[in-house]
Amino acid sequence: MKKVIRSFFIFLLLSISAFSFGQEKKHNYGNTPDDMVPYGRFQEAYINFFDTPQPFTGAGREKPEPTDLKEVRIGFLGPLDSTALVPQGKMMLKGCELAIEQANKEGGYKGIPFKLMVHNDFGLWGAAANKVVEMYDEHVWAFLGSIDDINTHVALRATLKMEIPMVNSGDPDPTLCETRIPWMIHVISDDRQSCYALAEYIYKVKKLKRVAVMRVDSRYGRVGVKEFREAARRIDHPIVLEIRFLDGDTVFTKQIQRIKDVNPDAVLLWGNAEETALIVNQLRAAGVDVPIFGSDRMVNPTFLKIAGKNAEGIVTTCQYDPSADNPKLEKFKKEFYDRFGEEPDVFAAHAYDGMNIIIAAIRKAGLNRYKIRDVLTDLKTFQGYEGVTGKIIFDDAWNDIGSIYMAKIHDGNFIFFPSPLDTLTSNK
Amino acid sequence: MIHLKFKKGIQVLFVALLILTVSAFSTDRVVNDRDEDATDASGVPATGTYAQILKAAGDMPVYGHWQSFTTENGLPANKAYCVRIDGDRVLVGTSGGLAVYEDGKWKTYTTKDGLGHNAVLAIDVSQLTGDVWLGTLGGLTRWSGGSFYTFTQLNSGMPNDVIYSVACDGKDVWVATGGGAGHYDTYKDQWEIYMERNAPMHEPWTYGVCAGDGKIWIAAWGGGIIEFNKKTKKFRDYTDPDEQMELDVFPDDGVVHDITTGVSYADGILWVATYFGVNWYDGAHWKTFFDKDSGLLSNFNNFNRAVGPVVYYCTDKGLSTFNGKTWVCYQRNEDKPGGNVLITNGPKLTDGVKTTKYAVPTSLSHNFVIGVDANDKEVWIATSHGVSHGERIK
Amino acid sequence: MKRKRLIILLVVVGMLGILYFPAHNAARKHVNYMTAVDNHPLNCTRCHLHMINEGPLYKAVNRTYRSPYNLAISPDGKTLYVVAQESSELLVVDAQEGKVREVLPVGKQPHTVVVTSDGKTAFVSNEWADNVYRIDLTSFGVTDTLHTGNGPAGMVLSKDNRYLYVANSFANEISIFDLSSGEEVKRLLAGHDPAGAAISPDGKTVYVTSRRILKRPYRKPISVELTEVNAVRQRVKTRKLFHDAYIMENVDFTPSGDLAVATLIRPKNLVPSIQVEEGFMMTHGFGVIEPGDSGRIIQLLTDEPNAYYSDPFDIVVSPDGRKAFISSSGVDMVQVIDLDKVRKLIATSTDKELKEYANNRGLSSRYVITRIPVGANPKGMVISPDGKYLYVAERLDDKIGVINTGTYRLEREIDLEGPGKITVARRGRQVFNNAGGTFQNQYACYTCHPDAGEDGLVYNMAGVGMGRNVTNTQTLRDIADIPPYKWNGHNQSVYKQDGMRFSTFLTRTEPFNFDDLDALASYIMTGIKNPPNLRYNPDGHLTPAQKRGEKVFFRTHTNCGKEIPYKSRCYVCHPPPDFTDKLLENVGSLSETDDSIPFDTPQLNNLFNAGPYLHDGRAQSLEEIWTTYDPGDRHGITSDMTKDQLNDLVEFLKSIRDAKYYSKYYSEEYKPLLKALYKHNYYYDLRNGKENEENNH
Repeated sequence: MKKVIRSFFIFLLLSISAFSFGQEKKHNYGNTPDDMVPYGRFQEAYINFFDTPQPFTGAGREKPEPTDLKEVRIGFLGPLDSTALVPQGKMMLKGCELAIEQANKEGGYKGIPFKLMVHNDFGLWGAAANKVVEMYDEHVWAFLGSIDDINTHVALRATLKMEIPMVNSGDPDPTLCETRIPWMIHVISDDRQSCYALAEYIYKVKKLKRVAVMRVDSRYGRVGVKEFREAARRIDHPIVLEIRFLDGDTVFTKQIQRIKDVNPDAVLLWGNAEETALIVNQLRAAGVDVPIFGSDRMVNPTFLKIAGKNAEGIVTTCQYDPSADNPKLEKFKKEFYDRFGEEPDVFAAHAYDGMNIIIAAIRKAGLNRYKIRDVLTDLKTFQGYEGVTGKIIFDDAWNDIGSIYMAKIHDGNFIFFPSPLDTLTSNK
Repeated sequence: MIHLKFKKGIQVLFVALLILTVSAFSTDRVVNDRDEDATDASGVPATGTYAQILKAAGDMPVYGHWQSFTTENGLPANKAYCVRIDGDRVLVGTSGGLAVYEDGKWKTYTTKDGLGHNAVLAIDVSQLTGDVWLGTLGGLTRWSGGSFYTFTQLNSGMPNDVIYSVACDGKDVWVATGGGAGHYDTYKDQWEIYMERNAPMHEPWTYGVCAGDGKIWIAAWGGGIIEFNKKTKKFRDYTDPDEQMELDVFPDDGVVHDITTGVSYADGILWVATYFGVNWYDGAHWKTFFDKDSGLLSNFNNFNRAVGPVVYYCTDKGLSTFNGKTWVCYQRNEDKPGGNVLITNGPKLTDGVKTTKYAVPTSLSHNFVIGVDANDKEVWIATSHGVSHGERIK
Repeated sequence: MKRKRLIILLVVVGMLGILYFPAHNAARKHVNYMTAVDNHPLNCTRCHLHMINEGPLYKAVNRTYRSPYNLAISPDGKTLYVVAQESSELLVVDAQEGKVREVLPVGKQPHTVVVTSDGKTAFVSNEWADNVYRIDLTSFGVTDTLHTGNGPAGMVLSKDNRYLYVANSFANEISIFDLSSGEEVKRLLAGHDPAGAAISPDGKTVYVTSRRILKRPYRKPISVELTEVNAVRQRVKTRKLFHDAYIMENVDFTPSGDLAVATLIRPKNLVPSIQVEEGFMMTHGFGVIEPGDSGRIIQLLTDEPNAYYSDPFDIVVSPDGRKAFISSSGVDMVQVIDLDKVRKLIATSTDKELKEYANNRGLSSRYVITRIPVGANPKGMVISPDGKYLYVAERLDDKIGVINTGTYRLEREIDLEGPGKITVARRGRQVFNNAGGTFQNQYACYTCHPDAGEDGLVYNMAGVGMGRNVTNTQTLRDIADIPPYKWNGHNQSVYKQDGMRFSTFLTRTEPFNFDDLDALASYIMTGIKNPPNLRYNPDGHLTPAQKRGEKVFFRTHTNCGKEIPYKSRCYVCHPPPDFTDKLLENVGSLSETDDSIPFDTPQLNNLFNAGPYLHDGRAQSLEEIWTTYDPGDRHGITSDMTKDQLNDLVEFLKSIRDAKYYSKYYSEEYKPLLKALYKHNYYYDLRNGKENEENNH
């Protein structure tokens, strides 16, 4: 009897714990802090779209692996010409090349070498889509790309039709995965994470209230600050000004005057390194001495070079910590330097991780795009992947919700530290 | 005895708790909470079963006697993107070229014949001229009188070479491309591009286009639905009112999501397809349908086409058809021949509205449906693995 | 006093005597320079009177001729309806009396007339007015205007007279009108430059010819399309391609419908023009079409081994279906074809043999019964209902030739009461259209310059380098004010262009005599007008896209705000009104087979219909000039443009019409830009700042 009662209670305990496990409060989508959840304070959503991964139910897995290949082609799509993003694109390419070369030294795919099929996505109008068609015709098994929001989206849509697995390592646009196309995974933390981290840091850690936003008039700027703007509103500190500038602008007098007019507690800049550095200089010269915060693309030597001392104290986000005590990262940095004679940047590091994931997926799944997709998106094979950029954690939309970092400029260098968001989620 | 009773009681309680626990776990499944009465699931339905289906379907057309085509019987490739009924022939866009079914035979046209690319994503036929307009991965191909001519972004004013959708509207041809919506006036031989600079789009990505009611409707990828009034030349947009990508706060308040994949207008109703559910819009009111609250097979909709009062949604779990009142859906069995017809007698599932499943001996060639066309007599669907033809049961 | 006068007279005479020699020398030098020869007669009026292309003197010297182009006949065979192309009239001619009974003004540049089977109604296509007049033949008045596509040309009525099919020559379309409502119900895609139309005896099929070649990859063999329309469904059924042929002007069915025949020319433009002497440049003949899905297409020549019968225009089948008549407008003849022999030839030949016949000039004696000399430049023809008479429009004689089909003789000519006098320019037009100046009558100027425009082909005028420097035929319309000529700009005048070098490289025979050369130059400099640009710019009011494109054309800064180098701006090398600076430029378009030379900047007037583009015709569309053939921004700065901006620019370019309309660019808005051009010593024709009345209404 005692045994029965004991087993009953054990079972009850187990059941309760199972219930409690089953009813464990899930993280909000995109690691959104509770007080920043859309409509969270007044209405539960009728439907949440990204509670479960979108399956791909189409045919194709039955296609046999080709037997007469002399090379296993993997695509690369990036800005390599005719754009200000060429330096980042070339870094991304180098990260991929290093991964491919190393994989080939290890025997490629069953002895067949991998071949990188390189495509520039900044050609004629809508070139990204055409380049995906070229990769389709070249029979690549998967591809990595790109950096520019628009080109990446255009490529993603083409990918959907051509059914080529795509890994993105350079575009933090959160809406990429939110298109629900089950052919792409993100291996870089997106701007949701950056925005929430900045909102937490600015409003809660620094307890600033009135923030003016100055952003580049492009999709990177518009989509990038969207979550920040909405998060600020939800925590009752709506931004006091959102003003734009153009890539290539050098004089920002009008915008700065408007910032002065609203007398903010802080300024958030969202743009490329060169323009934002000029803005910092002109803000300071105009007597705007409030704290300045910024986006990930400001974590760049060009920014430090142009902004000089004015950059001191500026805090941005960064998708990884290049100073992390990570043996994999150290090894990668050395190998990268040995191969290319320069230090890798955030684009090179993430591309290296992304390409290694593609290679691993191909090796596991075999030469079948559908099976490669299955491996990439199964949320098992690469869940918690320890890359040179840190641990990659995918959510159900295949966004990378791994750690985001803050970078503070001190003595002309970026000092990286965990974001308050990271602390929040790890406490849950 | 008491001890025994107590023991029995404990055991009963144990079993009850076990059942409760298991059932509690089982509610975690995300499948639609349908009340499905499987009838005649064993095999070939008797005539009476079709009579039952027809009766249950009410005004809705019912299709059966499905016949499927793959590379084994003439298709150039199993991946079929789109299908169009053109009089006595059927045009199918596949990843291996344009396949034409006529007189019981398939004939294939490829780049060697003049196609812009072998992957044909969209087809429309000009009712005015009979010319066939083919949206390919390599441009817009006009097939006229047996000759092919391809418009590309290099040789013409077309916005981009990847054509997701084509719509013929009298003398005009509209295309949805990655570089904007293109409007080709065949009389003037003139292209106009609509994109973020001259239309209410954030970006120039467009995915679907259709014509109706003096308007052009564009499914703008990330921009909801764009309406172009041909008379006034003015645009207006319909976007997701909650402005959130990850959720829908209220159903029936507008376009379910800004990522739209298809748009089709017929009989005064605009039907919208997305990967997040579908919409009905009568010019004043929006209705939203999800797989969880209606007969819709899946929220993931590749394409839609409205013919008269009926809309055909191409989902990743089969074909859903709907006329605003009744859902009739077609789904093949994954593990055995045949499939099911699922009928939901009401626009949305309620206590009084259930989905009834009827087993049928033939079904779609694949449940991942990408394209559809129908008329009074038949329906053709393009799927991830083959093309299927269904006869209208009367 | 008398003495004083005498002295003055002597002084004047002396002065004149002194001045004579230098003046004579200067005149001689000038004439030598302009004509590129040293023996052209010194007569100022030969050029300076007959080259004037506007004003009272032009009107005094020149005449407006009737220039009959096409004609129809009443069901009773008594009345001819003649389209007078140049005077824009429809003439009613008594076929028996040979008299013009009525003259009805019609639209500009009428092309074709068709008459309903009851003889009560006629339709006239007005090619330069984009409409068709419906004419009541009882009251002889215009009762309706049918608005067509651009350039309505050939027409045919359905058998029940309910539908009218119109070939829109400039727009490459076929308009179908429901005559019960007068509404255009369909517009179908035709071949390139559709011209003639015919309906099958059973009324189920309409054939529409086309003159220019279909687009094809650069320097690849050519083909021309005969469009087959299913007249029941009113849809294009097939596009029958005639390979290696073009200028398919007209088509006709046999009464039984067993065959259709169409005129055509077979150019050999992919080989150097040195082949003229070898009899291998232009051949002329007709196509035979076997109707039906599996029907063959056969090409036969009417030329002989040492004689050519250039520029076949119309083809008419006799009512018994046994003969076909071809008007060979370049040699002033009507050729008679024995269709029975053609049938036999086809029936007894293999497909391979039939293919070879297309280049066989020794075969024509088997089926050409005879060749009947007629008046100048025979064009449209019609046969009497009883089949006894063939009426031929002798365009450049203002007459209708009447041929007895039994004797094959030109029995008489009906004078259409034109001006009578042959002006110098008119004589030049006759020279232009006649192949008599070319080796064995192989081709006329008109052959490569149909309607004095361009034929759209690329030729190698073999000079120094065989196979090198291939060039695209250029238009001759309204070129008086834009020397130099030729792509390399070597010819400072039309005289030079059409003189000695012309005979050396092109006609391969004796050069034109000076009278003919002067006449030819007079015609080219005064008598060839651009058609109105009704499709893209009918009234000078630009569309929004064209206006945006105009801004792009005149822009001075890129989208990024950088100043565009002066010579990289569109308007600098292409300034209005002619849209050419008349200078030689290198826009990076030289190919490996081109000598390293700059090219004469072409004018842009009526550019819309002048493709293919660039000096060697490699750009099949205006877009390709920049999207494909200008990778280094050498042909203007365009790489910064968005696609819609390039579209706008193209729309503006397509809107550019004749130079006479461009007084608008003397407006305040553009003056600074154009004055700047002047300052930079680039050519800029102020045209005396004259406002153009046509542009101001």
